[in-house]
Amino acid sequence: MSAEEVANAFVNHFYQTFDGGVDALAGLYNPQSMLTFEGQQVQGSENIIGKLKAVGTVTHTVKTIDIQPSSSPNSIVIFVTGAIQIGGDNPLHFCEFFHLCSTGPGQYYVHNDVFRLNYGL
Amino acid sequence: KNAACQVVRFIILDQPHRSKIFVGINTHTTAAIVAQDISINMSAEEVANAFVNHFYQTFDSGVDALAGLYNPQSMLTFEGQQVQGSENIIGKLKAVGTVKHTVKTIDIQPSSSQNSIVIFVTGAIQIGGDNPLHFCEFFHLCSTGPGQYYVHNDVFRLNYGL
Repeated sequence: MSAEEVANAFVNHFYQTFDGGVDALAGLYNPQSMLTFEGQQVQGSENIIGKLKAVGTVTHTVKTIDIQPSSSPNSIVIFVTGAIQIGGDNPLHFCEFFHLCSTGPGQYYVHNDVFRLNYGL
Repeated sequence: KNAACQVVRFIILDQPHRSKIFVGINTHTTAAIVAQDISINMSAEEVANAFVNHFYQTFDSGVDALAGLYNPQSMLTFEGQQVQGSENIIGKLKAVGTVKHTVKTIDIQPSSSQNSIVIFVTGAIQIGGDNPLHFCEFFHLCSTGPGQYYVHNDVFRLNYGL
């Protein structure tokens, strides 16, 4: 698969899984993975899933996906913007960055994950 | 050496108890910014914060001076349009016109490669005289030596409409 195909497949999988059952995302992270969610930073798969679960019920609507090759071989930079509905609230803008790193042919994990809401001007 | 010679290195320290700005010398200007005591023992956070401040201040006042931050491998995706290399990147940024950035948040993480830093910025941008819009921008800052960084990846998106 090309980097673009990998990235697009990843993004679709990520948000569908997040919205359907966050636990299933655990395999995407390893002990080095880092998540910064609205400024709060955690490391490692367990802590990351814990933080994502604490968000509650969410629905993501992806608006844009930008993809670039990273500086290390077989690593991909993915930049997503869209809308997120948390609980029953009105949708808010969000942007999220993923650094997808390869551990072998067709195998990727998320090394960096940064999520921010965009609200208020 | 030639008319296109640009900034080749930057180390930005904006803490009063340390150094001032060292920026490479642009041959077009006679006003060189002189290095004082340069400390290269900056944490990733200090580097990232200094970079972000430098980047947007420079962008807002004179985009050309950003050229030294990029090299031939650097890639920019600006509102979905992708370009590579310092010259093309500066060209794309210049085409935006007069802008004013207001940074709201900066998130920093160590990247997967050594001495590389992931920087994620959100804020407001005013293009021309228009109302401010939300923006988010990602930088992958990679080190080429002690205290020397370049931007390998740069992705910019506006956030508008729901």
